[in-house]
Amino acid sequence: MTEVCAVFVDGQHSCTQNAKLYRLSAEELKVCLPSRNFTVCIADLRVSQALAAVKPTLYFPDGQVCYLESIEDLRLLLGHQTTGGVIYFLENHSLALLGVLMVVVLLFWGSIQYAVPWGAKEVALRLPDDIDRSLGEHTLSLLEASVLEPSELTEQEQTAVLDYMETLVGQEELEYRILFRASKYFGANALAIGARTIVVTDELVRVMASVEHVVAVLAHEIGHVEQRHLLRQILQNSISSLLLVSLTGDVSSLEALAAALPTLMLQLQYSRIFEEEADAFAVDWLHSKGLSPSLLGEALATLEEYYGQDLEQEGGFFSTHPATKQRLESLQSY
Amino acid sequence: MSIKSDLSTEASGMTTNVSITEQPFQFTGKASQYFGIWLVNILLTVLTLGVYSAWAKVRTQCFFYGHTFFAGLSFDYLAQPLSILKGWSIAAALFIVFAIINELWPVTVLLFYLCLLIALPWLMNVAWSFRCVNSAYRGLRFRFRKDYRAAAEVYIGLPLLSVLTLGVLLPYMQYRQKQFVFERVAYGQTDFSFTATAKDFYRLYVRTSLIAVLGFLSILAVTVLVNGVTGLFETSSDLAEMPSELVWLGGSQSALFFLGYLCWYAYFKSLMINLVWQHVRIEEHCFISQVNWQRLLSLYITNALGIVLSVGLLIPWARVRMYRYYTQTKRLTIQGSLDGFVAGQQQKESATAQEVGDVFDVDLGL
Repeated sequence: MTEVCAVFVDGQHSCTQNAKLYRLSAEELKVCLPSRNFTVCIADLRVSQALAAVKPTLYFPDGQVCYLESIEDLRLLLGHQTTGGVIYFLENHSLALLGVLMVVVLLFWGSIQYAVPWGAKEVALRLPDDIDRSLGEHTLSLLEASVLEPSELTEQEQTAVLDYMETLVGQEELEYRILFRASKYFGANALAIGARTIVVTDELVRVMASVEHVVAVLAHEIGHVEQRHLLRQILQNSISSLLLVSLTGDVSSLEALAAALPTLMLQLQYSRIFEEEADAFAVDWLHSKGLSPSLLGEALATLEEYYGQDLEQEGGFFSTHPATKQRLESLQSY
Repeated sequence: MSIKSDLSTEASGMTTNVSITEQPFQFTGKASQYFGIWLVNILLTVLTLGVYSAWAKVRTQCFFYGHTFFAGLSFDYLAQPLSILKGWSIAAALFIVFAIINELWPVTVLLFYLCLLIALPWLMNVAWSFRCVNSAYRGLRFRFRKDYRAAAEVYIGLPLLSVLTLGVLLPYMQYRQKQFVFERVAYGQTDFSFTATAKDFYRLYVRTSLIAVLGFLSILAVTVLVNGVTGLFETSSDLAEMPSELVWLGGSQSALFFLGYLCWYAYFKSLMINLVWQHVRIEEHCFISQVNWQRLLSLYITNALGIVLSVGLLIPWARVRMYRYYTQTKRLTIQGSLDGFVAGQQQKESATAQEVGDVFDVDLGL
């Protein structure tokens, strides 16, 4: 009969006793203590979970506990019942773990690259217009309180753009609200802020060579509006940061900070993808209205000149927009 | 494994025959072992859309408890995954209800916050109780004596008062919160006690605040001096027009402030941990905690660097190192022996207590 040494506690007192355990039969174990011996039914025992190098523990039905020295001792006592199962196998074999790692990386990459953007798109396109509208109004009032001033453009300059848009869209009512605002903060820029509203800065109208070029920029913003980029961005950013936070969990604050960097880079990548989508939309839109798609390229070139070469020069991981050079190249491919 | 410093009282001329020994806490787990558990936990949690997280928590806790040794035996984590899952489901359900209410009747949100405020002391009690009841050593469970009123005082009343007094009561609040926890924890039938005073906490805060102010001023002085030489102030504030060396200089100066803050935080944290644990006792046995701030600082920095450079794969390594350090710096001075502890009452009805406890002692993940 194999003998296994263990430390025994009675569950009522903190003093420990050395015990010897024997397998009596298929159903029973014998426990020998310095003071007494007793038998226990194996079916009544609870065995601690098999975990990497954690010493196994036997919990007896009335609170007594036996601490074994090693997993081998447990096998000697209980035989094959103690293999630990699939999970234990995965956790402790480096090859299996490599497989798990690959699946986890694929799952995260796949969900961040495809599942999250797809889900956000499906949801955003189905959400009632009310949400988009209240979001837009809210954004507008925030911007007007901070960085937007009333426009200093003349009535003619404004109507030139609006009239041209109306002739393009034809008889149907202009579905987009186009607002002119002065802004030092944004410089020459246009923003799709939700609620089918596009804010155009005075600077933009002034730097563009013609009304057609302003409209080309508007076409890009209409792309953002039509594809609900604002809502999708909010959804994508919140879901993806939730995913990344679930990975780091309750790590201390400094380490959580380390997780903030990939989150930021991911969100910037999403933003660049939206810009490319809006560019592609603008090209199609201009084409369908009988205008030359090259207008957008020219408008981008003007903007690049306006901002100077320094900004957006590199593109890459830390910008919200793709590099202008890159955008011009892909515009040519349409 | 025990370090027997035979400081028995005979040496000091007294004749009582109580030997004093010092027992360290030890952690035997390895980062490579935890890595497997962590990775499989992530996989199964994602595949089960979060349901597995309760089992994942139990496995993680069992690993850390099972490798924490004191006087030759490890600690036991006894929580059942299902009761954790139940707690988290309740929390999730409440969150969804909150989100819906927030959407439909925005005004009633205030009422909801009020309910949450009223529930907070209860939640703190329940969470501490869950943690204690499911922790055992040498076959005896820890316990927590719940006290709604005291929890309301230290988790709602005192934070409010310390805000109203512009932080003057902050050290006192900290003191009362630590005291609240440690004076209500028991091992079997034996209560822990907490012997620190509010004065100790005020002394710690005065000391660390002085160092914070001095450190900040000296870094500021260095920056002003360097900027005076290089003329950083004269250039325009527009980032695009700044020469790149000056941008780097500005960046390294913000990094200096951040590093200064990190040093201070490690210093504060180590003092706080040591202060608290040095004053925890169980019967006549006292805890000793010797966390060193330089060591803590180097752990913070290397852990963060490791996590960033490995794209998160070293998170288990960072956790194990942190846990091991906190464990290894603790010891218990034992007067006599540890054999005299007796199980608490609920121990006898463990089977039923477990089930009854399951209904109320849910883990809410606090």
